Amino acid sequence: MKDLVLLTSPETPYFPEIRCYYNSAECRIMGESYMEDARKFYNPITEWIQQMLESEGKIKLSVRLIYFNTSTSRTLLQMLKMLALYRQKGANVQIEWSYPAEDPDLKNDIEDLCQEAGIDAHLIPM
Amino acid sequence: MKHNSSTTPIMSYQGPFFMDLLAATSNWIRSSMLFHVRVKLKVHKIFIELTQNVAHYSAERTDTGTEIYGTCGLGRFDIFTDEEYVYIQTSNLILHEHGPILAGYCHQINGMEPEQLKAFKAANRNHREMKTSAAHIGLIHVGIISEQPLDFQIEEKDDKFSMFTVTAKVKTTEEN
Repeated sequence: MKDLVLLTSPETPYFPEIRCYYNSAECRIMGESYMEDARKFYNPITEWIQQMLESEGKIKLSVRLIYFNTSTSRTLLQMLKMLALYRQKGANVQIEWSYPAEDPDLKNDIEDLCQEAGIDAHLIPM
Repeated sequence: MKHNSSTTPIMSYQGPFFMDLLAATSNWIRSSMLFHVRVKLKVHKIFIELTQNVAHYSAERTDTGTEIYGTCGLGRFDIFTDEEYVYIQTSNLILHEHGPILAGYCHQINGMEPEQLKAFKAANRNHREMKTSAAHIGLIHVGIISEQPLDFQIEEKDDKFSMFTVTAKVKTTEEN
């Protein structure tokens, strides 16, 4: 299974940086996320995570988004629901979610997403 | 609510709502507006949701000249302030038949308490049956973030189109 790395660019700050590493079973999502078609962007990442869970039975998702729009939140919800299902089936799923400490609205959003998906995350103010 | 003699303009734009333009403006809001950081973050979030609704759903469209982005909605945004609030306003053309739907959304949002709005947003997160429903969750989110009623107007322009103007406001003294 190959690593998946999507680097961000100053010209397109609405795409986050993605680093999915097979050796550490880790997927990192960093930056901002408010692109036109969130589903299209996140599909390969969700597929990578699913393959990781199928083949290794473990994943660590590290999210460090300082902003995501409602379109992204729909897609992240689907990803979290998938992780919740795999955890129920016995997979080792860890979620670390960092957020700017001065942004309580974002923290509320993250908590709502996790609650809706039925999965807990370790929230880290930064 | 319209910008008037008792309000101070901060920024106005009329034309195509290109993603790059919205990204640059949203960065300016967060970095350069002279308000408390939490006020700026709220204005930024509201600005993105309202302007992306225009970019995606305005009935008046232009070709972006790129294969990836296809067409882009045209409209207008205004950011202005008075002593109490920062106002974020967008206007765009809509088809007549979308007017009552959008008006219904705004009335629904304005009639809800914060906890009801959160539950309503959760219920709508997976709802994508009609073109305006994605705009719906954006408006619900704006209602949650602003913690104030949405102001809106629908003005008939011709036999096919109306102008939809929506204004959200954020308290300038936000420190929660």
